[in-house]
Amino acid sequence: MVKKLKIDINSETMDIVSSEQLTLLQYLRQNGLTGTKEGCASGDCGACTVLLGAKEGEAPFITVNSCITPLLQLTGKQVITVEGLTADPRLHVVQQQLIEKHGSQCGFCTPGFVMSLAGWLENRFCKQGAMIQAPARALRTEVVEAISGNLCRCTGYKPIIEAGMAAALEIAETGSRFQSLASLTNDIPGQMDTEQSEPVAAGEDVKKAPIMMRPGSLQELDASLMRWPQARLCAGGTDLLLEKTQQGKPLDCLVSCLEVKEMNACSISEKALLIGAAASYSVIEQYCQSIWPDLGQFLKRFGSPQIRNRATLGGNLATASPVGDMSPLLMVLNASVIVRSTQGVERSIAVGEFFKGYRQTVLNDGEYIRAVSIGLEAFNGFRRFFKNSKRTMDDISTVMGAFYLDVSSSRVLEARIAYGGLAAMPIRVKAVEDFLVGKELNQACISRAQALLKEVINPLSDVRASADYRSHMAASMLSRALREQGGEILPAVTVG
Amino acid sequence: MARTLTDQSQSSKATTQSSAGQPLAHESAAKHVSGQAVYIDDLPLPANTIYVSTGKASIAAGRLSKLDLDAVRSSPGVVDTLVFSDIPGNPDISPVYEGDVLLVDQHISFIGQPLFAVAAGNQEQAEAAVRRAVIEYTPCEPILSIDQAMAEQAFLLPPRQFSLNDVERGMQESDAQLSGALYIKGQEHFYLEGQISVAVPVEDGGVEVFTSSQHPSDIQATVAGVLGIAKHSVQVAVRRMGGAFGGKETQAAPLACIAALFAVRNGRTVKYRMPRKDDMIQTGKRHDFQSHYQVGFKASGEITGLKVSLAALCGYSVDLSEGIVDRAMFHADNAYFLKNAEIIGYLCRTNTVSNTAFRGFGGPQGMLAVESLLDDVAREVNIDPLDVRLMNLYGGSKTETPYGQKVTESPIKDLIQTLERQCDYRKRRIQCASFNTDQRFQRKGLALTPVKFGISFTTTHLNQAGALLHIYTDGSIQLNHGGTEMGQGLHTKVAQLVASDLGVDVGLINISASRTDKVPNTSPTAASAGTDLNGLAALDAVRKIKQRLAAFAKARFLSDSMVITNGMVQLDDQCLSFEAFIEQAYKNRVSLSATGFYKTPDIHFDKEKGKGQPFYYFAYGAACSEVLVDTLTGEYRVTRVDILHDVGRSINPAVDIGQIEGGFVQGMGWLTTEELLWDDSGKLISDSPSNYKIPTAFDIPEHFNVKLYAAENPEPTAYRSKAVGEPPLMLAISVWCALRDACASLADYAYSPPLAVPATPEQVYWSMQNALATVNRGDG
Repeated sequence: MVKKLKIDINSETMDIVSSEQLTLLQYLRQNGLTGTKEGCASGDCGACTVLLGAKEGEAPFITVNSCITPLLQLTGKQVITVEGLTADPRLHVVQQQLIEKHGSQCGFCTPGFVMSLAGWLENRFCKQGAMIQAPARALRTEVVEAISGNLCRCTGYKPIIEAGMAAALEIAETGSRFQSLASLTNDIPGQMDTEQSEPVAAGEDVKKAPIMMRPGSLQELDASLMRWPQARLCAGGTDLLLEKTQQGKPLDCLVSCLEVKEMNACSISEKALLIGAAASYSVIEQYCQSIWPDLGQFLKRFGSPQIRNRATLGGNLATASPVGDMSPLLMVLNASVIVRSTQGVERSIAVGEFFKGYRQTVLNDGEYIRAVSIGLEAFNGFRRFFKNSKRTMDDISTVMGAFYLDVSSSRVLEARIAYGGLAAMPIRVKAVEDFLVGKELNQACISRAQALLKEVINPLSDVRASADYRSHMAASMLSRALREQGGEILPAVTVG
Repeated sequence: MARTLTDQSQSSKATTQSSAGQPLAHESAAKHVSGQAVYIDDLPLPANTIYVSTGKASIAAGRLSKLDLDAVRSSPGVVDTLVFSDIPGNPDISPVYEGDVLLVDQHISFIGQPLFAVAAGNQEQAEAAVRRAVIEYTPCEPILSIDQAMAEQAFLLPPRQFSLNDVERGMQESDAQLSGALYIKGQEHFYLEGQISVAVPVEDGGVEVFTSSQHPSDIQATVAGVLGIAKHSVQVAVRRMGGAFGGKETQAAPLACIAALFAVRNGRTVKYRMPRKDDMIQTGKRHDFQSHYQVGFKASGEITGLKVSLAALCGYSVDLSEGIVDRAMFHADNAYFLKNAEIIGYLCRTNTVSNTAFRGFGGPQGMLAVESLLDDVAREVNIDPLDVRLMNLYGGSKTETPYGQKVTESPIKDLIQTLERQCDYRKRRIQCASFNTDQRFQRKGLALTPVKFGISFTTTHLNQAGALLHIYTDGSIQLNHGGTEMGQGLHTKVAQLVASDLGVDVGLINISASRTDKVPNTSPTAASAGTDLNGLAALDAVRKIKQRLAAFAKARFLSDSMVITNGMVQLDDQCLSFEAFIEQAYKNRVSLSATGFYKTPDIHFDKEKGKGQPFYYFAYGAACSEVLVDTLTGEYRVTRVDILHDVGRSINPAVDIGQIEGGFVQGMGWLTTEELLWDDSGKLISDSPSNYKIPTAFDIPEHFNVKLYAAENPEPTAYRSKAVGEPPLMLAISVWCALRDACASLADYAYSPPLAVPATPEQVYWSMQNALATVNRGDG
């Protein structure tokens, strides 16, 4: 049995069927909205960027890579493409400025840039009620950040950055020309968020699993997983969808956790910060601004805005990538993974104990990550996170290092050191931690700690770097963290 | 004086008439930003269109011992399959020499080589079917590197040589000599629009092909060839490409050919769009080059002789490698008089994808080799590298290149010195040196390097172009020419030239798709020569029509002085609108359609002797780059770049500056973060944008100043402009030299440590370690 579902695209309600296997990009292009382009089908180039009407806690519109967004996860949602950016024949201020600054050459990446810049302006405008003028340099940094997930091979970006800055200034000066997208409303009644929350609809073929289930609560999620034991959780899908677009595997029997309220919220209790497993990095960044102010700067290198708007902490942990950037951070912050079973039983696992091997976790069948908990005391101590990658923005780490140090009168009381990219999974280096505890931090101690580190790690050579470089970088990060703890200032050149 | 974009933009607003010299927006800009520009993948196609995927070899060398496609044919949605023996015509689609086969017969030449093709109801069905093939191989030992090919003398063509005077005497005259080597890696094009073709069967066994190709005539020839039909039965159209950069000069052909074969076999429209990964694995890239050199020089830094060998990793076939190796050799002098020289080029045959054209066409590699060794010389004689560069420039009596052409009227010295002043090079050099003594964890590097780039196809016969101009009775104009639009603004510039020459607004002119049935026998849009060739072909058509109109004016209006400006036709005391005049001409039976033709004069080259006049003229430029390097990690930022570039008299300063900025950043990617990597079996492992990193907006310098050098082209080119497509890419050599300068600071500038290409953070780190080790050994 095929259910009729609805999605709002450019203020038009479109019917989709529940057997639909398509990504949002495929669906748009098959329905004549060819302004959105496929550049890579892997979320790396941004040519397919569209705006997605947000859910609670997010900016009003978020940019996403439509190439790795499953259509069925968006039923009831609002999508704006380049064709829907303006209601009238006049161009959006971003489009106008891109023409004036000569920001397009071959034009293939251009719609993606238009959407990234339009989304940035929209959110900046909506948050502040008006476009506040920023110093040119700060504005430039913002624009660069907004387009850091969009690749252009022709222009060298300068005119695109200029267009973004000019558009912001124009809105600040005139205001009038800016027609907020908030006027484009989603008319689908009741949002239909939980349309498919029933695990089995009456009369439905009981043997054929649905392609995408969208439970609205933990109980519904558990029921879905019990009914379909082979089902897999899908949050932002930024990794999972590559199976479809890069390996040709079908989208099948997925349970979206984006509507599960208990998995999407962040909260702070007296003891801990609790981050929902399905909260996007953008939501986390927003929520943690005061308690964890250095997180935002780090996340800029974690992934592009489009990825951060979809990717989740639960996904990052569950894929158990050897370089999963957040894992080393969470390890040194002594974070715990809150794991829930379909029986509704929960247990807490230290992040350091969570990985078993290459892309393997300790999760049992029927278990999933509900949240991550970080004890508040972790935010008091000295911590440093360093990412090394071939390209500064939008790249996977060569080495990711995280350091938590408790030092009193030059003597190390506690050290927690973790790395990604050095082994089959993110690792703590206990040998170095143990060595450091009780020692007085001086150059000799640091050198010995570095030497010890190089002895105990055994990284690989691959497409990102040689084993030798990884080893040197791990040692270099260690030295940097220890010296900065000692008061030296060693700023990275890669910070914007 | 040098002009800036800002000045030009302001003047555009004040001008009512659009014409040559104005910074008009790209003809498709409004369509680009609104998503209305149509690319091949956007074409509406019939419901019964079929889609293509290919099966690929998984070994680098050997024989195909079994290819069983039964399971493929029975896979859901499969309509047709294609193997070598199904090709009715010539299976070889090489552009110049033989060797590029459409599908493998028996002999496998690289990992990823297409073995067979499948057409199915949709893309996913085609890809799924491909995975069901049963394939067996008899492997043999592949050649995977330049070193291996050199050792085995595995060459695609015999080595070639240019000689200037007596290089041995040059070494004897020198005060000192240095030898060295530099391995220069290639580059993936990463055009945002991947390779794609749509083929539509037409009556009488013919086919119409919509392709993303820089060379419609080559698509026509190869499609006709594989089908075994006449060229007149194949129509090829290219409206626009989503980037090309040389990667769509020959590499678009296999897609067009396979789509055409399926279209004719099945009587259905066929789309073949390569997924990004296939594109990265199956299409050629910029060539790796291994250079070895020996340079003799005076204590002053003046070069007395240079021996350099340039060995290219061509892959399994020649493709365009002959011209590419030649162009590397043509640019191994860059802007410098070598006095005595011997330049040898090798075309190494390897079991890798056949490398192809990429913006610069070998020139960048040749130029980087000489710029690298000039830094070595400068450190050796302890003189600022800029002074060593200035001292060795062509000029005065120092005019002869190793290939016999004389460099005269060169503005390069003035251009460099102007940039040097504008960017405050000398002061910043001192500041860098002082920063580098104070700062332990960060180092600054600075370098100013020139570019001299020869303009013309070095294959002389390609230097021709055609155009077709129609004026309709309402005065609107349809213009076609042999060039293709890949984002470079060719159509914009040619329309501006025509509008200017005809005296009408550019809005009257429509340039539509480049089509083989409009303008035949075209050359590829390549070698930076698109505007030079097609602009003058279009103006030739304008000239013919204006002659007819002038004759008509004399006969009908008794006027000897027809002048058309601002869309008005002035005939002595009468004045008509252009539209009314054209209407009159039509009613008086004047032909309002003309073809135009152009061939570049005065060029020739004797391949045997390695001497001649291969270039019509040279384009020049210079760039000064500053970098900030983290000595703990090798990570860096390019903090400031100043460019002064010679485009002659600019037809469109905005388009030209766009080419300069874009070319520079693309070159910077090649030399910094874009790293091609293969595993030991010959498999490409940098096969997706997640592991092959082109620059992002974050990577470009915050201070990025680009100016045009004010000078007309001494040669009578269109509007006295100069070609601009390729030369700016090589301005990015200044970034690599600046990084090396920062590394050299760790050896107190007494030594230039080796720096690999690309200079990834890792490679910069190793270069710094090398510099430190040299100092610590005390042998710097």
